[in-house]
Amino acid sequence: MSKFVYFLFFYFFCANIFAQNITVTGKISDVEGTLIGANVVEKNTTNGVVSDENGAFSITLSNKKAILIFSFVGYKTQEIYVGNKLSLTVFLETNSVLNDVVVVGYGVQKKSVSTGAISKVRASDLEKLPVVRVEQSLLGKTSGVNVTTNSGSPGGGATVRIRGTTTINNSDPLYVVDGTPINGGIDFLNQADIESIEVLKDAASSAIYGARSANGVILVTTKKGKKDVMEVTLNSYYGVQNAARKLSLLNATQYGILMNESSVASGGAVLFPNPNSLGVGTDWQDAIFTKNAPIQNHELGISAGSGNSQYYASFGYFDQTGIVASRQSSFQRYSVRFNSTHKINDYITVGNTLGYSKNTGRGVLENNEYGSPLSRAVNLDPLTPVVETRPEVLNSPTFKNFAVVRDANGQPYGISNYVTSEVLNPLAAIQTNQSQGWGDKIAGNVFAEISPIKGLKYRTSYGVDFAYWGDENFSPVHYLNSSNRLDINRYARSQNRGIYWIWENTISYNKRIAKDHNITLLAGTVADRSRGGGISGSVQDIPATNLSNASLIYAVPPDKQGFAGFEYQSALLSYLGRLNYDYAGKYLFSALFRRDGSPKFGANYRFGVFPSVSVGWVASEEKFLKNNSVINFIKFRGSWGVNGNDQIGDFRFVSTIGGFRSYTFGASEKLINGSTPNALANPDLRWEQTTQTNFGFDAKIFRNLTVTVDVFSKKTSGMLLDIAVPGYVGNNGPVGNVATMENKGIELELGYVQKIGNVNFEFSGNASHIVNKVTNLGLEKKFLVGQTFSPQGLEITRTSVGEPVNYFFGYKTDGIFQNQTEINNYKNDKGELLQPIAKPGDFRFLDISKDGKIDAADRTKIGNPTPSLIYGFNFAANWKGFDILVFGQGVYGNDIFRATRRFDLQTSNMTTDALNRWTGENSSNTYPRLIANDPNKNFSRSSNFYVEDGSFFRIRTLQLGYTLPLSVTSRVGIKKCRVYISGNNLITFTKYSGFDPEIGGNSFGVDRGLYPQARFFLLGGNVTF
Amino acid sequence: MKNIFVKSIIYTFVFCSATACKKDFLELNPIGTKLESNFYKTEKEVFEGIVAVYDVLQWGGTNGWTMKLGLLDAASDDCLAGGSDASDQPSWVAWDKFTLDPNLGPQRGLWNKNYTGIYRANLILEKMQASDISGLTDTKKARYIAEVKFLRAYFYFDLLRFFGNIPLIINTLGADQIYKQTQTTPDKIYAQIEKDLNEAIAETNLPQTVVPDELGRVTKGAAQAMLGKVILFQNNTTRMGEAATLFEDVITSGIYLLEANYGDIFKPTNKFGVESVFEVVHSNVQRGGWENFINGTEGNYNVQFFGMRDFNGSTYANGWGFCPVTDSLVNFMRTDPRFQHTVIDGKSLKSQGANYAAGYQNTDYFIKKYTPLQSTKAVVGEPALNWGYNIKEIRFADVLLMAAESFARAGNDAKAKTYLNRVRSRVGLQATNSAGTALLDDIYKERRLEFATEGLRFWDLVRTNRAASALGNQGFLQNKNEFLPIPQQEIDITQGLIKQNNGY
Repeated sequence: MSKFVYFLFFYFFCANIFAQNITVTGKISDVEGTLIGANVVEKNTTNGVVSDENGAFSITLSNKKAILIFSFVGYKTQEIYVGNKLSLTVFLETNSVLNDVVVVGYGVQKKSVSTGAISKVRASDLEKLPVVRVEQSLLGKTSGVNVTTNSGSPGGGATVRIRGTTTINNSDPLYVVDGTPINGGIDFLNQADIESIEVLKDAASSAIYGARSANGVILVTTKKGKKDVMEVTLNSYYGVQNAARKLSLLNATQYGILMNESSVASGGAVLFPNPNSLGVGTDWQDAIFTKNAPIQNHELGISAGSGNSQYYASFGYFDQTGIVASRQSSFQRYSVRFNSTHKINDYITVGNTLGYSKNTGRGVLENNEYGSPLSRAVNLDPLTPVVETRPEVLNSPTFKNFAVVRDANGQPYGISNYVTSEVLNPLAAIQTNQSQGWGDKIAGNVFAEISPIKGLKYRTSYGVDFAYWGDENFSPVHYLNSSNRLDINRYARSQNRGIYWIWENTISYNKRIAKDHNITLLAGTVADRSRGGGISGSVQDIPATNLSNASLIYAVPPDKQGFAGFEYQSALLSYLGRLNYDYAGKYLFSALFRRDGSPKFGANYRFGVFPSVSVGWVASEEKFLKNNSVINFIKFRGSWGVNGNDQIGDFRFVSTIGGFRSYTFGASEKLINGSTPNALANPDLRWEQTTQTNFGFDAKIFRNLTVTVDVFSKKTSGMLLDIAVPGYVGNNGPVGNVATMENKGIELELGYVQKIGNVNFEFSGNASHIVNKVTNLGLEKKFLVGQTFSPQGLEITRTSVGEPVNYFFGYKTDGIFQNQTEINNYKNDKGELLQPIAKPGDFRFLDISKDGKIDAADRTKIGNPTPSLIYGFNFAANWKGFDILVFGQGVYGNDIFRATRRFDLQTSNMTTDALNRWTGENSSNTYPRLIANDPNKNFSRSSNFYVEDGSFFRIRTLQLGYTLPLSVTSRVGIKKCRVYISGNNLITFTKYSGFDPEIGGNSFGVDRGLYPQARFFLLGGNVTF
Repeated sequence: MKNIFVKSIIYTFVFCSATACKKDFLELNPIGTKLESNFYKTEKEVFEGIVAVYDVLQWGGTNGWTMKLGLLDAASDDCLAGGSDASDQPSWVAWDKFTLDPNLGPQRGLWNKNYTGIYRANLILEKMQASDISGLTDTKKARYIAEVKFLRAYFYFDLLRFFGNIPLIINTLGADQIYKQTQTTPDKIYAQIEKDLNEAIAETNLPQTVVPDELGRVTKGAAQAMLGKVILFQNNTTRMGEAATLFEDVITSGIYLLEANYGDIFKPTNKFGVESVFEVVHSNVQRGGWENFINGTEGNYNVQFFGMRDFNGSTYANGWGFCPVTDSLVNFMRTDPRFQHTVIDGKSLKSQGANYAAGYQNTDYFIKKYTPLQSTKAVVGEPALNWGYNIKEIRFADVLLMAAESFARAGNDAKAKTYLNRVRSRVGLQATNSAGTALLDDIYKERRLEFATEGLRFWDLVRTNRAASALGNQGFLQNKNEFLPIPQQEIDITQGLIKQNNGY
């Protein structure tokens, strides 16, 4: 015993005396060869060196038992125990996607053992691609996510569809920011504040959000302060925007010639005896498009951490002016953020996230044939001048007696003598609708995490989303044309607020049993509630001339005041649970459920249960694949689950009573309120359910290529439908769980990193193919009426069984009758003419129904607005401080219904395609003759004449940057300084002839004169202190 | 230490769940609205249901501009369609020129409007069957039922005349019946209309006259005149006596008189005058704007339609130039004393310094009976939507001439002449002394003169089989254009169970 003690004493004593100051040398390499500038640090000390140009290092250590830490940005950190090894060869692995951590609902998970189909977008993917609204940063970035910009107007939203249109109702995904579900989109976020965005696509990952998850879930995590790092970043850009494309419209002479032809053909007079004298006329597009409209963005971020606390704070400012009708088209946003975490002791951590934003914007009517500036510009005749100067017109009764609208110089705007209704001078009209809207939003949470024993964590979090929004608009006294005038001015203003709170409590427990069994359990409850409302008031006949001096304060008699209000409330109560199990990181299993209760449904169906199970197999962990030089990693996944959708409006199961069905009685004219049910009732209303099956794999090949493939099948059942009922029912139909739909698709994501010499390349791409089909619309119905056009309510889209949602609907044309013989030969079985009133130059319509006549029954599917393929790619390279980025995105296989011309107003202007109209035998087989009353309905029927290929590929961003050498910037305390120029929407490859093939929102591929996205150039800089 | 943590966590967790679990957490009701299941429980709520049926009478904005009076004027030979140009209101032009098709025309609005009225009537009749409605006395209830039956008959009568072949629905439809309705023969619809009107007339609680606050509500005289009109429209000679009796009841009731001065009938301020048997009430008290266009304002949209476009002058206000008066009507009645109260002579106004823009189909003659006046223009709300001109749906002169017609057709020329001449003498015209067919012709001529541009002409022509001859040059086709096409949407949605009308 004493010998042994002696031996120990001697051993340590000697070790301490004789093992001082050893030197370890070595070489660091990566897959490409030597790695220059990698960090080598002795653990728990400040002792460190950097590898030289040969990848070699030499470090002197005080102790052989030291641990060396090898690290390099973009690589996995490695720790090596020195021991007796005095010469080391170190291989660093790149830090690939697969080794990431992903945020899942109510926790994080290692990507390598995750069994869900989750796409992740990191801050580094976003920071070079400026967007107005955060959801747009997902555009083209991940598979299975289709982002369509609604319009090019400033602050304009985007439509996000995860794995296709899931329902005929609200298909918008659920946004969860730092754990708090956010209502009304995430445009309040500043792009620079985002750490990561995870998209939960399959049921296995999203079902934890139960009744709100059917459309997919987008989890946004904002930046936190980094431990013991103080960093200040400044990002700024300034740019100019211009219209990328104009339509080729008839000039005044061409217009005159064609209107003459059209009038004469119908037996009318020659309208313009000498069309050549009309000249070119007015180019209304030039008149409304603004050149070099400015856009700018400035962001300041501060990240700090010391001891047990970390902070992140930021300020952002964004300002954009529109390219159309700039005076009434703009958007500004101010945003502020403060996030922090504090470790109180070994057991308790507390923290918060808090974001505030203030938006103001002015907007015009968009993609609307009843008075959007663009619709007016393309339909108004080129004869009307922008401003009227002709004395004989200025002395006419109209200009002398009415409140015609004047420009800044007091010149009256021109009034058309040829086109009527809503098609009027767009510049004048813009001045008569002065409006602005604003929104303030505060969203955030406070949380505490308590971890009393290893593996057990209790988390409680209270989140809020306070939104305040409103708008005001002023219509001055004006005269635009005889049917659009206002004799008394009007001002209205609304103020609204919505308050939402959510309280989440979860317990999770993680335990490793017998080395290879790894189990994580989660259980939780969630309660949330929202309520809100608003009031609006209006006054008329006030002494104001424009929006800035209009006010509700003006005293006007009671009969010139109005007010209105609304209120809403809703709640959700949920229980959730999840089990994750893996055996040695090789065999993976996960099961979860959520039970949601909502007052949106009647007592019979108040609660819904949403389960999911998933399995995974990391084949690369098996002996036969382990350390394989080709396949570095491969994981197969499979999942099944059920999601719900409750975005169907509140209290639809009851029949509510609506008032204002009033009638006037009595000699003293008393307005008596009348009431009826708003719609028929359906007490058995339930959630919409989406059942989804997913198979996929994630792989890494040759160390620098990552591949993710998923195939899925999604079936939505019980889709709520405002059941269209025949007019004879006399009220709106009830809402029912009647319709079903399915989406099937395949998704591919690729990532590739390569370094050749001093040049680093990075490529990522994705493609998704989705087929959507409506499978049932209820027993009594085969289709739903969709979009209509013009005051005649022409049906142009439909949804019907066996077809994709909202396909284009109309007649099919089969060329043009070139002569009377062709008309006479176009007969049915009985020998009767199919189109007896047709004349040469008219469309031949196909008798689809084969009933021997051309009528409404011959309308059929003539196009599909949903693309069959969406894709995007990102290419980046850098060389010695220079960097280049190309980001492209496209869709394929969709159609656009071009409804830009108000064909119901026969004198509205046309595109120059009309110059190639049919004028005689064999002059055209695609563009019919022009005749004013259009007896054959060549133009006034919905037909494939209006349907065009909507596929496009767009170079979204092309960016060139230069980072100043650190040796220069470090002298003034700057860690990084980068300047760049960026061109956005530079080139769009498309066959579509309208302004812009990207038509989002609720337009369903119908172009009524869309506000196009601008082409813009930015000059920007990023500075980090 | 750890134990305390664990305990507190478990406690909080359970507590949170329990609090949130409280049942009332999910027991929310919509704010600011009542539910059908707890509505119609009081007399006041029932009356709101009755008012909702009346409301449909004044609708003119269902599926576009679909005002019955103006449309019927345009369809007749009294007026053209008009507007700014041919594309201003294509459905009006289509009826004027009889180029209607299942997708083009005012049919959808007229169909939906009247069936909404019928639904609301059926609904409130069913709701009133409940025994526990507080404050609803038997006498009140009986009156309400009679009024609703009158209104249901009114809507069916319009539907039948517009469409000819319509489904008969006298209950609210259950979920299984919604798509299963088929058209019924006109005689069965007529039988239902007559049944409703007979029940209304038989109801002693339906008053003969109403107190000033109730003006606009249905009276017994209105129901009798309506029933007579319904019988007259069936063009069945054997029932003319029946109709004549009903009209005579109204005439001898002593409640109604002819206005001494013909021009006073259509003074917008002369609401519920002595000649008024049933009026559709319009007012400007709702003060609505364009956001209320779809049947939300109580205004008479016809008035805005009839006014001269961009009018600049005295007395009259600006309108949209619809329904220009035809030369046919002008020539027919130029010398009649009623002409000056019926037609505005635009050229004469121009010669006095006024001006207006010539619209589509301009004839320089405009409707005067419902023309917009500066003095009546709404000062609050959108003026175009707030013309408070009541429509004289049935006036006493109509009862007299219908009485004359039914007596003439029943073979009682003496009585027929008495009533015809009462109408003529009011405007200082000589008594007619014709007999037989000539007398009937005189009555028809008198109807055109007396009721020019009041929306009666088209149906007068159709019911007496004179439409093809009078309207043929406009494009009217016999056995087709007597009725509008059934709205295509209705055929589509029932998958052809509802059939299209002949010729369309």
